[in-house]
Amino acid sequence: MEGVMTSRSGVLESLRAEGVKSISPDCSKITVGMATCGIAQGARGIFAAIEEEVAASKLDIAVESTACIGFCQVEPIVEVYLPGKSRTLYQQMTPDKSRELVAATARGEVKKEWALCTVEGTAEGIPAMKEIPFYKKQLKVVTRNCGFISPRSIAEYIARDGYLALSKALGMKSDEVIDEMSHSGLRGRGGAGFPTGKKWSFARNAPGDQKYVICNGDEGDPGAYMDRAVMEGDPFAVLEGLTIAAYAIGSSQGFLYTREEYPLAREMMDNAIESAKKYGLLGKNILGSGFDFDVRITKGAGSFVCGEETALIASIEGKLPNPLPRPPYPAISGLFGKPTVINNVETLATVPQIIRNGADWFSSMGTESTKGTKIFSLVGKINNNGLVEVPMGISLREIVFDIGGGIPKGRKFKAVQSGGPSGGLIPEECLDTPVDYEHLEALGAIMGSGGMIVADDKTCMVDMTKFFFDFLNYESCGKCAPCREGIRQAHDILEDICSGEGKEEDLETLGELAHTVKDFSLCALGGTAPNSLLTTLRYFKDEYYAHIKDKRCPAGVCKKLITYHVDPEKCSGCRVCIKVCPQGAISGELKKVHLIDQEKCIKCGACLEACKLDAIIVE
Amino acid sequence: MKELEEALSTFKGNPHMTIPALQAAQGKLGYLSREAIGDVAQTLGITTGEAYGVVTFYSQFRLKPVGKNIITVCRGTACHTMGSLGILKELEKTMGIHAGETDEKQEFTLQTIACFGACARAPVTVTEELGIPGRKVHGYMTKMKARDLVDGLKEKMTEEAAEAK
Repeated sequence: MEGVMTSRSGVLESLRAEGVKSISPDCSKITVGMATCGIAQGARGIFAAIEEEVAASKLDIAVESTACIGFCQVEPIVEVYLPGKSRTLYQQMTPDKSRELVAATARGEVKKEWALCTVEGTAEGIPAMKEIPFYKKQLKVVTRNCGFISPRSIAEYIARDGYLALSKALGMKSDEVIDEMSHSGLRGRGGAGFPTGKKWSFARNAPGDQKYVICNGDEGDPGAYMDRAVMEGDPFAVLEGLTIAAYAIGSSQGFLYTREEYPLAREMMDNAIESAKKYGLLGKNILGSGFDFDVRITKGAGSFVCGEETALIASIEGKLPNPLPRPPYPAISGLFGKPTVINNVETLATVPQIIRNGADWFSSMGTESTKGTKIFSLVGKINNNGLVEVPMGISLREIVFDIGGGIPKGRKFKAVQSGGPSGGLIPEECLDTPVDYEHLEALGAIMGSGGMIVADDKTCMVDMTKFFFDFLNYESCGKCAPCREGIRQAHDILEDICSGEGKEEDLETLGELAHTVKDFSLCALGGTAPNSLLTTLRYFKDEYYAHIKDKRCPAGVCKKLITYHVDPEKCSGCRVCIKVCPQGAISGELKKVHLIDQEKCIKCGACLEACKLDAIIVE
Repeated sequence: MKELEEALSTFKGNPHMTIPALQAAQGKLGYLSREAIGDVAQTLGITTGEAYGVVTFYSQFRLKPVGKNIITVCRGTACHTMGSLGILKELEKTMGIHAGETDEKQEFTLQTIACFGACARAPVTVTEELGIPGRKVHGYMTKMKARDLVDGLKEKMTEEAAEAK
């Protein structure tokens, strides 16, 4: 046994030393954030420019890539490590600025004017990460490695205490591992919030030799991308969590279900699986413990309902992904009829930290009912777009205004949409609500997988609701009538209202439909589908009335209910709008106020986009 | 179909591999023809009807050939809030086709996606070339950028055609 323990720690120790060296080498190091959002903003060009510059000047500077540090708004982000001095993040970089940054790094200097913050050490005139508003109220637990390590490097993961948890768990009895999870209070981060420890213990106690664990990486909620970011940024944490889950329930085969839309996440997970196998952290006799576990990646093909666990199982089995009635729950009869645990990416990435730091450490964060932290994707009409990880119990106002920096262009906050298509729209007066499962549900919304889309006064609540029903109408699998027909009917009524053909009695019909769909649908897709409708009817009824009675869209979104005009006070007569109008609907001479012909206008908004003086009014 | 034989060989007799087999077939052909769906079903040992059911359930699978350039407009919630419907309408007008369609010359396919997961860059449009790995994500789209995007791709095709001559 002692021999086993030595070889076990031997592998980890040598990888740890290697990782420490590559995170903080003796030379300077420049790291480019290259997750999907960084790449979308030109990170590849920046990486190439830096490599080129370093090679051309024959500099002793290491060049690496990492994933997403969460502050997507200021991508592309570049980190510069100066040994013994500081580690600094630079924002909104360009290839030209990067070349200059290389030169400054070679001189051992920081570029104060482009810096966002320091993440290690200090540099004069640059705030520390903990001091800037976007990060001040955040608590990085699950995302602690995202953007800080190379996601391809198992050594760097281990250098930041990776695989200590698996090593510890393998020395525990499986029941002890489950007890630890139960005590931590962790609840599933995919949306339903079921206690993770309980789920594991059901599967553990279910009879059967063959059991399965599945990582649900089918992040189908439009507007949420934390699972992508975690898989791209800390894939080994997900894998370690899945391995611990397998050990706890007694499974030797795991599956990782990823989205077709996330090629980079899949690449990172593939690489993590290969590396873990290479070092005996996956496969036969893991760390010499006698425990065998293997993982296979399956790729989805684009379907929202596959996030539902019984549909996901059917999808892996190659069948049509129609949800099944529960019970039996997958923990008793799941994949191929065997006991199966399905956990979401974020949940699994939390597991190693709970095992390593203890249940008490985890449960010290959060609220009475909801422990720990949660990642939210804060997007839409918000100044600081990005992924934020916060302790449960923080208020929505703190998330939107303190972390998010409020609404752009000085506009007015209208609502925050929480929980994706299954969630609801929360108005200004509820912003002081603490965020946890119960409080959000009491508002009629859900936490869901953590999408938070902010809407301002130019966002139409009826249109937004119609958008969700459009989505759900398409994604409903069609198996049960309440969901299939109810969503379609509600969608058609909403469309009428947005087209100015709504009737007053429609609101009552919508309310009835919503309750029928909610109460009688087979799975959670239908069960939560009406939330956007119910919350907008509850908090934004005036907007429905404006559409129905006054035939007016207050936000200026619904095409059939708005008109475009030129503001004579602001129009300088520059003719830009005349040039872009595809209908030839705008007339006017140079330096004279222009006029829009309402007969010809198709309300495409081209003039609105083109006018630099905000002289186009939407009414 | 001869060209699918090799791509499908690893899935022989395994009815659980419907999605991977269909993905492999579409990867090879660019779309799933009636014949290809039949081949997949036969290889896996399921009925053509079952395979067709799976094909039409998922948004990834296509029943028609696609164009050389595929333009995908993200219709996720963040993108919708930031005006992606306007981007889609603009592209439909510029390209003369609707979402889900391919033009006659098979130069362009326009499609939508439920969410690309790059929500902080909303509205997002993704372009890719058929058979060439890697896609380009265009963030903060405007109608003007959408028109420029199509013009740029057209220009590139004209240049490539001239070079080929």
